[in-house]
Amino acid sequence: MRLLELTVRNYRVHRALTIQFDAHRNVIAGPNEAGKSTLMEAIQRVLFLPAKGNTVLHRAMQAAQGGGFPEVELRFEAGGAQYHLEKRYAKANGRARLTQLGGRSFSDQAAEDVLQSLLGESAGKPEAGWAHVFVAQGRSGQDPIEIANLYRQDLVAQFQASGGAIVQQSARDAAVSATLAQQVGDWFTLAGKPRAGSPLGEAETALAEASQTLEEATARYEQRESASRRHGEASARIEEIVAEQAALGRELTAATERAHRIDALRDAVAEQSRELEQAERAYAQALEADTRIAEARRTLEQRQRELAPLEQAVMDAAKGLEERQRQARAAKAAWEDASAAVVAAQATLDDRMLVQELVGRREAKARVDASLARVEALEAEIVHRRTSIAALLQVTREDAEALREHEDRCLRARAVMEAISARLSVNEADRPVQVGERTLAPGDVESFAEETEIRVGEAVRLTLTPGGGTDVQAAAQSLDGLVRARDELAARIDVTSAIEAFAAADRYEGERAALAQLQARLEDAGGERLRDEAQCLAETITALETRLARRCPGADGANLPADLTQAQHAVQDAEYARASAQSRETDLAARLRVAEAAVEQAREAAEAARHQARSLAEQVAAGEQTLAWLVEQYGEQDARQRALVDLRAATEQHARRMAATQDALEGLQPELVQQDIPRLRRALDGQGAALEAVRAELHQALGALGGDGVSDPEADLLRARATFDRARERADTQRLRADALQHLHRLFSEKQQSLAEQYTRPLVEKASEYLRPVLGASTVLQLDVEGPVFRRLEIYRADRAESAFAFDELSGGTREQVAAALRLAMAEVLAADHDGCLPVVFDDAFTHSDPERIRQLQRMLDLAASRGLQVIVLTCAPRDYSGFGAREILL
Amino acid sequence: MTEAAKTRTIFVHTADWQIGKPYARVVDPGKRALLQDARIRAIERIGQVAEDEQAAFIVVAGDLFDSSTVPSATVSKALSAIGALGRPVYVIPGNHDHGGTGGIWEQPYLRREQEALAPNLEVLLDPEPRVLESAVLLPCPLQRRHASDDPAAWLSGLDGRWQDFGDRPRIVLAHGSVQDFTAPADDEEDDLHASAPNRLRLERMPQDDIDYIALGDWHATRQVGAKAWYAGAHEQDRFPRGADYVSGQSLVVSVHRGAAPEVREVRTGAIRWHQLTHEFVGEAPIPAFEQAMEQLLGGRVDRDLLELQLSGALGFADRDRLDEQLDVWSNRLIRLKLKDTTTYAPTREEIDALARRSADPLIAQVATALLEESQSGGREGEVARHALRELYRLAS
Repeated sequence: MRLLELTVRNYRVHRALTIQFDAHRNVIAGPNEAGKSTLMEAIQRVLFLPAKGNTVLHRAMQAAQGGGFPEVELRFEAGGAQYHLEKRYAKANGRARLTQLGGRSFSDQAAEDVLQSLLGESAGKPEAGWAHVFVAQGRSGQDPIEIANLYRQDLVAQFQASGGAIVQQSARDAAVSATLAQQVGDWFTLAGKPRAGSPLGEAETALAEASQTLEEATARYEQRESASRRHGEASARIEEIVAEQAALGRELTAATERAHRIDALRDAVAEQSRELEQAERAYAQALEADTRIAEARRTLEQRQRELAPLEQAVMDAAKGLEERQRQARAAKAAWEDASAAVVAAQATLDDRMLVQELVGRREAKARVDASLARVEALEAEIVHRRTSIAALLQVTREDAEALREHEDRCLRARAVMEAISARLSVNEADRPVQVGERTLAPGDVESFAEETEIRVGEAVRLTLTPGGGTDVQAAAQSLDGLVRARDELAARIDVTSAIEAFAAADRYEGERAALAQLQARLEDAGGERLRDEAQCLAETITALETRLARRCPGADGANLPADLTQAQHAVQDAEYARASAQSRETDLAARLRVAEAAVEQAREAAEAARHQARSLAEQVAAGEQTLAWLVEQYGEQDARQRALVDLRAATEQHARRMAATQDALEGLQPELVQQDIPRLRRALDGQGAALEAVRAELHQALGALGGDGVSDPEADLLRARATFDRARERADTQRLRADALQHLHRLFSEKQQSLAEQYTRPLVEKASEYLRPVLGASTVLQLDVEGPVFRRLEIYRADRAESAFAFDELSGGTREQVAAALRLAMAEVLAADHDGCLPVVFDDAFTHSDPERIRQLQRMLDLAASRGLQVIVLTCAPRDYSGFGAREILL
Repeated sequence: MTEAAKTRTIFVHTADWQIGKPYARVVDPGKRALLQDARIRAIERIGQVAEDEQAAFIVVAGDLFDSSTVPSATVSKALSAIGALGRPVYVIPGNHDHGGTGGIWEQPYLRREQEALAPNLEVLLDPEPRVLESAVLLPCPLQRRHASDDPAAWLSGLDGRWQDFGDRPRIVLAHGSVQDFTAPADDEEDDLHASAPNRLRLERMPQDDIDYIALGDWHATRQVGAKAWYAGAHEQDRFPRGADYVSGQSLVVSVHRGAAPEVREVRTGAIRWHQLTHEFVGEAPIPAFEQAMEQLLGGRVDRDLLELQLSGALGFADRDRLDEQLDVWSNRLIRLKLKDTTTYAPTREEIDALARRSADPLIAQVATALLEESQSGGREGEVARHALRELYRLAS
């Protein structure tokens, strides 16, 4: 089908317009609102909208300015012929006319019917007829899958017609497939799990329940079986324990009997031991007596032998004592002599010391007496000096100083006095001048020291006050006092003036100084002390002389040493002599003590010897007495020997008996028996406790074994097993059926998919060919099919990293191009029904494509045109398609 | 010794009544109860046999009860049936109803009911001779479920006492397996005590001093020695173990001191246990199978149990038909124990109907794939075959 010419009248914006189409390539250009889309609509309407009618579509076609009903004429080729189609959309009076060039003509409905048969069964609704080839403005980027599905049957029919081997599922195929899908949906959830209400779900639930029941029944059965086993074990154990108890009881009885025998034997041993002991004691006593007698005899003889030397020792000791005593006496006499020599030497020393003192004192007295003579001379000079001092005025320098002070004060007071007193001179007077009591004549001068009334004549009376005040009087009085004091002092020291007083004082104090010097010398000479000393020495000398005279009546002054040095030598000699005497005395005293100690020692030795001898003698006496008593007691030697033999035999007999009894006792192993009894009792107790425990276990097991008389665990278990087996069998069956259904469903899906791929392949290949000029040589378009339906459009581009893009992931421009490619491919396939040609109208379909892409698009469109399609592009930008090589129709 | 004792003694030898057996594999509780009741009703038939044979007494060689925990109501029912037998019944404890502590014979309830309902029942709990007027019973009771030693060992110690028994026939009662005859491994899932059997050593028994050994434990009748017999269960309780497996019987035994016993098998069971193995082959496999089933079971309901082993291969339609039939049989039978290894083998028509389906290419393609997969073994093949059948159903 190919459009040849279109004429519109009174159609929307177009009053009257005729366009002639190129057979392959057309670009209808015009600015916006020029009516380009209206032209595409007019083609669609005239092809698919019946002329008669007043629908919204009809009314929309009306011209805006009025002027008659819309009319559309279309000339086209179809079915190998040319047709002229005219439609006048006059509502109920709408007219249609279809005329085959050189053939028949059809009017109205017939025209419409023939037209429809020319266009094909799946032409579509009037408002969207041939939607795959009329790409309306604004819809170019929409997913073309929906459009493809609309023409799917036609496409498949074409593929089948062209390919021959390609098959399409039948209605029954679809129905079976749908039923399978339904059944699988009923049986399984989307996640592939069996649905709860499905046969498989129910079977599996029943199996789970049966498994649970079986588990419980098995547990109950096992519980009973376990109780039965426990009971059996407990019974066996009880038998063992009872047997063990009996054995232990027998052992205990035997052990107890043995213990009794042991006790009896022990008693026997104790008795025999006592008897043996007695026998041994008797034998021992006899033996001891014999021994004692022999011992006593031996001891006696020994003592007797020892006694003689002891007596000789006593005598020797006495002699020794005497010798020591003699030596002691001699030592004492020597010591006494030495002592006397010491006394004599001491007396000599005393005498010589007395003489030494006397000589010393005498020499001292002579020295004191010489000093005393010098003192007395000094005393006589002092007396003389005192006498001369008494003849002098006894004025001291202080007195002279005081008198000069007094004189100075008087002089100063007088000067003051004279300075303040007034002086009245009468130079001339015609009248008597009476001053106080005195009358002054001219030439008289009067001094006044006090307030004085002056009268001159009778008429003049003046009061003169010297010094302006009363101090003149005080000064006068002070002067008087001072004079009086000076005079009194001068009188006292008996001088007239201070100068005199100083001369007297010099003389007096010179004398006194000389006296004081003398007195000091006297003081230094210690006159009194010397006198006392001389006195004292004299008395001492007297006393010494008296003592000397008394001690040595013959001695006198002539025998005395010449001086103190001689006396001291004599004393030293005497001291030496006394020390020698004392040394000797000490030596002899020591010897005396040694001698006395030796005496004492000898005395003790003698005493000891005597005591020992006496003691031994007593022992000898006692031994003799004891021996006599023992013999008397135990008899003589022969009798004693006989008794000893008898006693020894008896002892041995007792010992043998006891040994035999002990052997018997040991044979019974008393220490083991002693352990055996508590051990066996413990074991019996333990077995008793074990028996109790096992009996409790038995009882418990018995309790668990008792049935309730209604339920039968064995039967329950068997039934549960049977139920489980049935449930498992049923579940297996259902699982098999479910698997079968799923498998069937899967196979159907796969086959459908395979079919779908077969019939989509030509379409896909064509679409890819259209795309490659635009998107590149590696571009492949893929159409996913689910069952009989197109589901998804994808683009693969080997030159991109991403493997595939879904349609809605593409950019707006690419979407337009992909959609256009698919439409062109569909048109090319479907064109087979229309003499190999279909018009494809793009109304501003590439508004999102960039200029470069649009240039590439022209290759796509050119390819379509070259393959027989009639491409009509409506655009407001005709320059974009300048490379298309199309007929350009400007509106 | 009376004159009567010198004559032959006739008694009925039974064993393994296993009253209270749960029949857990039977799904339907009513059918389960039916089987349980059958074991009690069989006691009545034993009584009839004893009456017919004028038996001096009846012995039960162990396992009178199925377990130590049989419900009291069942105990009462069983004792009542025993009480109605009208002659002495001597029983030894077996492995299911051992005589030890916790065993059923110790239960006060049982003892009371025994006194009240079955005074003719005597439980021989101890291994010691029970001297009767007409015989001497030598019981070998099991004191516990699994005896560690030979329960009959005590017989060897009777050396000095045999003459005390005079001419009375000596009858050993024992329960367990014997050395030269061990029960084949019992795969019956309804027995908790099947493993670890109690071993009896018949060869050690003083053969000359014994006249008959009444054995229990093996549930089919079987002679295991000149004088030794298993009576088998009085009412069959499991599927046969082979062609010679005859159960549901009791033995009428005639003994005489020093002579070989005379033993006669008498049927006392009512329930039939069948085994059928069928392989589906040929063009019309279902009718042949239906015929075989009809032949075996007729129109009986609630009288039979069947262990059915199916093999071979079936087309989808035949399989559906078989399933319908199996549903019917499982209702009619007390139990249908099915071992079905039949595989799907769609017919040529069925294959064509799926794989050569030109109008429905998808179905055809899937079917073709599945047909190929179904040739493989294991789970994959099994799933494919089932899927094919599902597809067949959906596409039909």
